[in-house]
Amino acid sequence: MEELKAIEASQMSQNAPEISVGDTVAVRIKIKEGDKTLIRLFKGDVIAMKNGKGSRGTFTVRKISDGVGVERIFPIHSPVISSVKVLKKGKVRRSKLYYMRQRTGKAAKIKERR
Amino acid sequence: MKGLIGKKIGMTQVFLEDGRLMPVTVIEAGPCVVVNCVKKEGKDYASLLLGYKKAKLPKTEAKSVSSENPAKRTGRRLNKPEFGLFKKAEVEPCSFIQEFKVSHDVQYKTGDVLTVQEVFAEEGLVDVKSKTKGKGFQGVVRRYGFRGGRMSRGSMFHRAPGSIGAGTTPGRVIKGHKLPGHQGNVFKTIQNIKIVKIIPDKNLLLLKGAVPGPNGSYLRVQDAIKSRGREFGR
Repeated sequence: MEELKAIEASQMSQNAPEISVGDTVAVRIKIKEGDKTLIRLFKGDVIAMKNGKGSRGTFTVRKISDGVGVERIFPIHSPVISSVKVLKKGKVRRSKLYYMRQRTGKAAKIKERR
Repeated sequence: MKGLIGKKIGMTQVFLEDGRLMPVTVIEAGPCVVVNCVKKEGKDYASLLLGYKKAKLPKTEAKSVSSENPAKRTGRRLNKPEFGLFKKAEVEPCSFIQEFKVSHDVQYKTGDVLTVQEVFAEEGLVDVKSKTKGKGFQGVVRRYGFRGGRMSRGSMFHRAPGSIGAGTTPGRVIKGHKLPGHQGNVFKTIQNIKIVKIIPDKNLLLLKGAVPGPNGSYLRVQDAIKSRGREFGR
């Protein structure tokens, strides 16, 4: 088990994002295209964090793109993520905001924590 | 077809350089000591006997070497014939011993210690042989994936095997027919597993995907015998 822990520790990134469920975040993702590395932005709400804070943890970001809900699951320690910026802290009472999938428009807003 | 004896540590996941996640099984492979290496008469290979993990001496032998601390020795208790093998070779007694067929022009001396980075290379392919988890006596639905029948609405046919053959002709059940029985606890070999990473200072081998058996079980890792791979076009 110690060996597994050591391997998982080596997989953790130094600048893991400090986010929590309900936050509005801007995730910058590195994309390799040919020999160029591009940076893409994915902006939305964190609706879930799963599998713990260790090397295997993930977070789910949901955004509404042209009226269609889009969700992306990122590993917290993924080397593909170049940065995660918290735009807004959210005030929520659940750890998983799956109810957001049923909501549109103004009801799909998360209150800001001040 | 060189290989090593190892111990399954468990599964986790690692990031590849391109950012993809790879599920891996962590195996402690080696270091293994060469107990014997002889060319078989009339065969075109040499038989390489490898030992892994220390063993306890037979009780009679343990008394005779009372000078050392008996509590130090861990592992399996060897019986006298097994111990004789190591005594003759003058190597440390090992709990696990496996034979590997190697090409006879490679010279291994008794007492040599083989480690992961000497035997395997990253990106290489290996076969892993180990004992699967025992499932006990299982029905045909679990054991062979039969569909079974409907549970409700008066079906009266749930998980039974159904018809197992015709009547008077042939008047018997055809051999090899799939029926309930013991499942698991047998040796299985998984072929062509990719080596994702080697960590030499801890003797660790990271293999892509799963291997049979519970964590902590002992297994045999060897070069893939059917490693034709991609060049044959899949």
